[in-house]
Amino acid sequence: MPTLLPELKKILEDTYGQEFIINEALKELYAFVDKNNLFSLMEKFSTIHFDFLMDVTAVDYLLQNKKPRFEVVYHLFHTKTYDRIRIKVPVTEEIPEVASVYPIWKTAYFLEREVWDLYGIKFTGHPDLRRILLYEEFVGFPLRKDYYIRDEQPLIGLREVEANPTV
Amino acid sequence: MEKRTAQLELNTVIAREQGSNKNPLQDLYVPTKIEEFFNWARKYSLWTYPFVTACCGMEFMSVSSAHYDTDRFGAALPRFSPRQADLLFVVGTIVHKQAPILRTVYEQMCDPKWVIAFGVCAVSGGFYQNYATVAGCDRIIPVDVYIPGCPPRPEAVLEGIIALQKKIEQYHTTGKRE
Repeated sequence: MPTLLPELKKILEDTYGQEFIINEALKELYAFVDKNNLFSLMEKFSTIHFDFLMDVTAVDYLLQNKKPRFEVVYHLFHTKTYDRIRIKVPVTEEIPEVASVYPIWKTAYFLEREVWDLYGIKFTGHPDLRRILLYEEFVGFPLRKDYYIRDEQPLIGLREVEANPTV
Repeated sequence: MEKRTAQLELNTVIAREQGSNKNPLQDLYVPTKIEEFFNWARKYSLWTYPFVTACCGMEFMSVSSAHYDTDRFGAALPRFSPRQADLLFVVGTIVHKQAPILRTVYEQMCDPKWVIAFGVCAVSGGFYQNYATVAGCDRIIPVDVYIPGCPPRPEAVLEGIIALQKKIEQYHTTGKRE
């Protein structure tokens, strides 16, 4: 099937009044989207058969001093035309919340739990938002840049390891 | 048994004819200490429990297969219950979420028991120096032999098993570790 992207770009730019960029090499449409528009936009993509949510992830721009601090990134894939869409949603540090896309793609269940686990970004509308990789006792969100990377939180008492110079 | 009896008769005849005072039982029995005898038996009968968590498991399979033949050292038979094993192979990265499981497995094993840390992640955490990884499984359980490598070559593992056998020879039946 021929690519949908130029047509899609025109429709979206007329609807939302903002720029959508096409990367020809990657066959990819790319845009920053306001978080209030996110869910309706994602629903639109799913109706035109962007049926594969490849990844939901986030970026912390603390060290770059960028405002707002976080960006949630969505990667979509069209399994017939092989088109891709990358959507970035800026999220503030004060209200780290964004609408869940779980009602549209069920795979968001795990992906959003992972973003919550590591970045502490809430997905409103997610049915069971709890940690997925780390344990419930863990305090803080380790992929935030203000988390010290070697700050361990052991579940059990660890042994003291002595160096043995004779061995 | 027949062979031994024949040897005993032969020794007796030789001793009588040559008039020597050689003990006729000399070639038939090996005197030893009970402790050394147990350790000799233990070191050639290592029943392993592979605690495999990561990519080192591929190398562990390679070691366990026929090509490297750990049965030469009596260490080929894996038991998939820690209660039946006396050698724990910690193969791969141990994360903090998994640390309580590893300690439970170790505590379920019956004495005498030994632990081999297989690969650099189990030895020291390797290149994972972060919030998730335990920097070496010796922070959870006592380790007898460390095998470095990412992953270790099978020859290194065999050398590790031999090193452990040498260590078992020094083991005290009273339970005290040297």
